[in-house]
Amino acid sequence: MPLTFKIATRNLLRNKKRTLITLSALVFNCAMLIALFAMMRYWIEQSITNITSLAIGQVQIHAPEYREDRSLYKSIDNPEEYLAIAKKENISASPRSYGYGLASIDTKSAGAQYWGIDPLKERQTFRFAEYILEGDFFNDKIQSQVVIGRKLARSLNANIGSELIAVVQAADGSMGNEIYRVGGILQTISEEMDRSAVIMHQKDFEELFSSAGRIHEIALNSKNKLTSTQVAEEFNVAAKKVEIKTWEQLLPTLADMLRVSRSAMYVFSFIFFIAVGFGVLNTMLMATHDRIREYGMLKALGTKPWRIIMDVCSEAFVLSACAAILGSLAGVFLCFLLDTYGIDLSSMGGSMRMSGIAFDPVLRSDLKPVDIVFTVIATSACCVLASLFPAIKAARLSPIKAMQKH
Amino acid sequence: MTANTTTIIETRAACKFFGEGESLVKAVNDVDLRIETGEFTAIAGPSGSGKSTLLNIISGLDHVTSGKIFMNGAEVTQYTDKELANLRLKHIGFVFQNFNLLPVLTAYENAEYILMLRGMPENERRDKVMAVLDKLGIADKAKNFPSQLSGGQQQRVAIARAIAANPTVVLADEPTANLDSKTAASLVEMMAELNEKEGITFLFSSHDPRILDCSKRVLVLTDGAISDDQKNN
Repeated sequence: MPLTFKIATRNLLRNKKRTLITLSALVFNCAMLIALFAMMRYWIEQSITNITSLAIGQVQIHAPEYREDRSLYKSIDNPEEYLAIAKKENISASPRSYGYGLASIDTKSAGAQYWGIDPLKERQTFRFAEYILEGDFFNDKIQSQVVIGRKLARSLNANIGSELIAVVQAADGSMGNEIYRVGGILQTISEEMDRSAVIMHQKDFEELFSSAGRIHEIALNSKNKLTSTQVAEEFNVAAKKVEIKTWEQLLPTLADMLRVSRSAMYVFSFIFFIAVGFGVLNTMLMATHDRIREYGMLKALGTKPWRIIMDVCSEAFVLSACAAILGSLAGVFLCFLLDTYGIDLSSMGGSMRMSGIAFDPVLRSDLKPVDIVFTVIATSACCVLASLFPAIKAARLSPIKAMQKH
Repeated sequence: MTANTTTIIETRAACKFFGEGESLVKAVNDVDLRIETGEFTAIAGPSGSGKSTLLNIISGLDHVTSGKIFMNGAEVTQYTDKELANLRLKHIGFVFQNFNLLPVLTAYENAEYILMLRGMPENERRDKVMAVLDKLGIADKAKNFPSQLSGGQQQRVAIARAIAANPTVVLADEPTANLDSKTAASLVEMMAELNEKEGITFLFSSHDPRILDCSKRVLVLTDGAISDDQKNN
C-alpha cells in the first residue's frame, strides 16, 4: 500500500470514535440514497408501465378533435391502414369504439361510457382484462356480457349476473337499447373507467349504436421495444387525417410530475451530500487541528503543500471508500427487503392515483448498478471536496507557528 | 553573489527581530557565521539567546529581518517558499527537540518518508533505510511505532530520518533536551561518530555543558549575537 494511504488509514484509526461516527453517517447516507434511487425508479417505471400497459398505451390515434368533442361520428377514417402499420412494425394495437348513454340496473341508473373492444386484441395489447375485481372478463366468443367499472357498479348496485339495461342515442338517430349481463367488475385502473366504463364486445357495440364499424381510438403499445415517441414516429408518416398523441401528450401533468420526480431524486441526493459534506468537513477540520504540529513538522522537512493536501484528501477518500463499500452493501440489503416485503402505502389511507390513473400502492425497489455507481462516486467526491478546505488550511501552515502549537 | 564553495552555510549580518518599538526583541542580531563541510558545531547559550531562531533562519523555516544567508554558495534569503521547501528537502536534515516523528508511521517508515518525498524507488529506499537504522543500532526496532520506543530510540529514528537522504547538513535543535544525561551523552557520541566516519556536517544547539564538550566547535550566542567562537581539540 502506498505510504500516503498507509498514513491516511492509520490516521483514521487514531480517533476510532470520531471515525466511527462519521463513517456511520456516511454509510447511512449511501444506503438510504441507494434505496431511495431504487424505490423512486420502481415507482416511476411502475407508473409508466401502468399508464402504457393497462389501458392508455404508449400512443393513441384519434380522429382530429375527437378528444375535445367525443362525438360518435368523429371516427378514424380507414383504421385498417394504421392497424396494418402496427402489424408490420410489430406494435400491438387495439381498436376501440366509444359511445355515451345511460346504464340502468333495476331502479338505479347512471351515465356511462360504452367501450366496444376486440377482446382478443385488447388482451394482446393491454393488461386491464386481468384487473378484474369480481367475475371474469369476456372472451372473443362471449357476447351480450359487459364488464363495468367499480364505482359504476357500486352506484348501480350491480353484482355479477345483474341485468344492465343500456339506453343510447345510436349513430343513425334511433334510440338503441339492449340488455346485457354483468360478467365482471373492474379493479381501479383509471378514474374515468372506474366511474363510467361499460365494456362490451365490438359486435355488441355496433348493434347497440348502429355504428357500422366506426373506430374512435387505436391504442398502441410496443411493450417496451420502442419509446412512445418512436412509436408515434412510425405512424406520423402515414398520418394524414388523424391525431397521434403519446401518453406524455395525453397526460401532460402526469408526465411532468414523473419527470420532476426523476429530477427530485437528484435534488434530494444533493441535499444529502451537502449534509454529508459538512459532517466530513467538521471531522477533517478537527483531525487536521489535532495534527497541526505534525503538518508543521512535515512542512519543515520539505514536504510540498500539494502532498499535505493529498495526505488530508486521501484520509477523506479512504473514509469515503469504506463508507461506499459498507453503504452499498447496506443499500443492496435494503433494496432486497423492499423487494421482498414492499411498503404498502394503501394502509396510510387515501387513494393511490394521480391524474385519474391508479398506481400500485405497494412500493418496491428497482435497483440498477448505476444507482450504486452514482452513490459511490458522489460520496467519494463529496468527501474529498469537503476535505479540501482543511487540507488547504494545513498545507498553508507556517511550519514554525504550527510546530509551536500545543 | 557566491560565497566560498567549501563553506556550506554562511550568514552575513543576519538579523531576526520580533515585535516593534519598546517590545522589540532582537532574537538574532548581526550574526556573521561560516560553517564548513564536515564540521561538528554546537551553538551554545542560555534559553532565549536565539539558538533556535538562528537555526530557523539558516534552514529557511523563518525569514531574516535583514542580512543574508548562503547555503552551498547560493543566497537563500531570496528564495520563495517553494524553493526553501526544496532546499530543506534536498540539503537539510532536521532533528527536533521533541523528536517530531509521525506517530502513525513505524521507525522504518519515518526514516523512509523523506526518501519517498525525494522520489527514490522503493527497493532503493528499503536498502538505504535499513542500512541507516542498522548504523544507528535500531534495526530491530524498524517495525515499532514511536509510542513503542524510548526517548533515546525515538531521537535515533529522528537522526536516521535526517541522515537517510544524505543531506548537506544536519540541523539539530536541542536534540538532547528531552533525554536523560546518559542517553543524551550516547546520542551525541553517536552523532560525533557519524560526523567522524561519514563526514556528515552537524550544526546543533544545546546548553548542556557535557554535550558541548563533545563538539569540535562551539559558538556561544548571547542576546542574539555571537559572543564567542571556540574550537575544541
